[in-house]
Amino acid sequence: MKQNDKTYTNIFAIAFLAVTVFAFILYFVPEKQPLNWMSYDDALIVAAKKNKPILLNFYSLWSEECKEIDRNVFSNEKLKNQLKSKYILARIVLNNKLNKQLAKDQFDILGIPALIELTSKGKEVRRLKVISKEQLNYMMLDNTYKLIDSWQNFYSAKTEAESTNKILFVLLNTSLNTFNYSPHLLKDDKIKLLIAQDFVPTYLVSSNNEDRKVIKSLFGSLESAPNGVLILFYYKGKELDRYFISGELIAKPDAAYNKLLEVIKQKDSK
Amino acid sequence: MTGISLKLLFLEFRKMWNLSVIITSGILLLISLLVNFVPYFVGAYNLEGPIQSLNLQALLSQGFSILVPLLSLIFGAGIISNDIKNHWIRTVLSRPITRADFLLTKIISTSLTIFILMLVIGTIPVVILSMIVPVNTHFDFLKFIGTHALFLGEAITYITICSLLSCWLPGFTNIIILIIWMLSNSIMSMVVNNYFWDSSIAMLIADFYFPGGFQEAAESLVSGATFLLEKLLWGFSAMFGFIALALFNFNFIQIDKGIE
Repeated sequence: MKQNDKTYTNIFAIAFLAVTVFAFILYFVPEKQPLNWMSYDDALIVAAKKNKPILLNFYSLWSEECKEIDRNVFSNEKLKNQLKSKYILARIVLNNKLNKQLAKDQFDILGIPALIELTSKGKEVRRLKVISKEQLNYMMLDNTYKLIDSWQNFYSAKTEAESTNKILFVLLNTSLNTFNYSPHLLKDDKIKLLIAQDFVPTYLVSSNNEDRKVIKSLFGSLESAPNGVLILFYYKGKELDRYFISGELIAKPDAAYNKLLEVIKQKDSK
Repeated sequence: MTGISLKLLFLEFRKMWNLSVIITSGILLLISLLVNFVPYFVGAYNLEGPIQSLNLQALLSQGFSILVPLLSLIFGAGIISNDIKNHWIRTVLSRPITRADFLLTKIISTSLTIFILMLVIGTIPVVILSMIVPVNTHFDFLKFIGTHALFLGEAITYITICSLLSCWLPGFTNIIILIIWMLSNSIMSMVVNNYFWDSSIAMLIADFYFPGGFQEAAESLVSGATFLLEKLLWGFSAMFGFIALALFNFNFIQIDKGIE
């Protein structure tokens, strides 16, 4: 008997090699995608044509989390059909420099997987921090994108406000990764009615290329624009007031409505 | 290859149970009882209260994810260096027993001890709790067994790493190295997820940096999500790899010289 017998060492080394090879094969073989995603550029064209919102997913083949979302959330049959019927599904796979730049510079993504809801004109409505069936179901019931889509773009809204002597209501979103309470605000029927009567609404979001240009022209640069989700009120070309949309809305549901009434009073006094 | 001697296994197993181990286990059991039963006694388990159902497997998995690394560090630290110090290795290897047999016996006996403590500290309080709580209990036999098996696999991996380290370094450094390795793993995955999430290589390194395959597989098993087969394989890969490395390395140590 040799004291330095290597039989066990060899057995475990062979087992290690076999299992590792198998694990790597499983890790690198791409899985079957439960949903058909199109590219972002195509999605913008199709969405504008079909007048449907876009659901934009940032994805990496190497990320375990992305694979898990595919397996556990998107493979749910009921959810799959609902998503397909409501949205144009677009995916940005982070496998080249261009896409990485798009994710970092334009959308200011902080991590993957990320899921963003865009209107048919490509304006970000909200982004999900946690991608779960519950969150997606909640998003599916919300139609804020329709309201935002019905609004005019900044310049025509401005012209209309000046010609009709109304207040220009600019919903500005520059803080993309904080929780966005604006859908919560726009769900309120009282507020919707007031906006339709006394304001000319428009929406600017810093992840949209055209909106970025408008924000730059308004504030000089993106950095000097107010940071957060807020409403800017303009009257006769001058800023009347601003209101930051925050979690305050949950505790005081009438805060935003009162602000709007206050702004109308300010306008009347002028 | 002589096969593992049952007598040696019994000896090694008995050697584990000294006073300090029993005291440490007693303290851990007390903590486990407090953590599990305090919510019950304050009335948290209530059909209209904060905890409306009890998932036995998930509760076990949560407990084991803290308990198993802790027990592995307590029992695994210095398992070889202590034996060299008190000349136990020389005594054993003067008999017709190969070095590989000795090391495997050592790993098996330590794992067995940890498994028994896992049952006593982790499983039994949770099972008793699930029987007395007035809410619905989710129990799945296969998941229950699977959780135990996967965490036992994790324990074996940690003990093997300790036995590899303690061939060359004294016991307390094993604990320090493993704790630093565990902490750096979570720091690294945090850094990668926040700053290098667009880099495929960084993501791959973060995924495979620390042998946590068994734990991640157990988490996916109890959460009701798809079972992560590649994580299970990665767990086995780390376990087999480290055992092979420890066995290979064990041939080079000098058994009659202490480790300082």
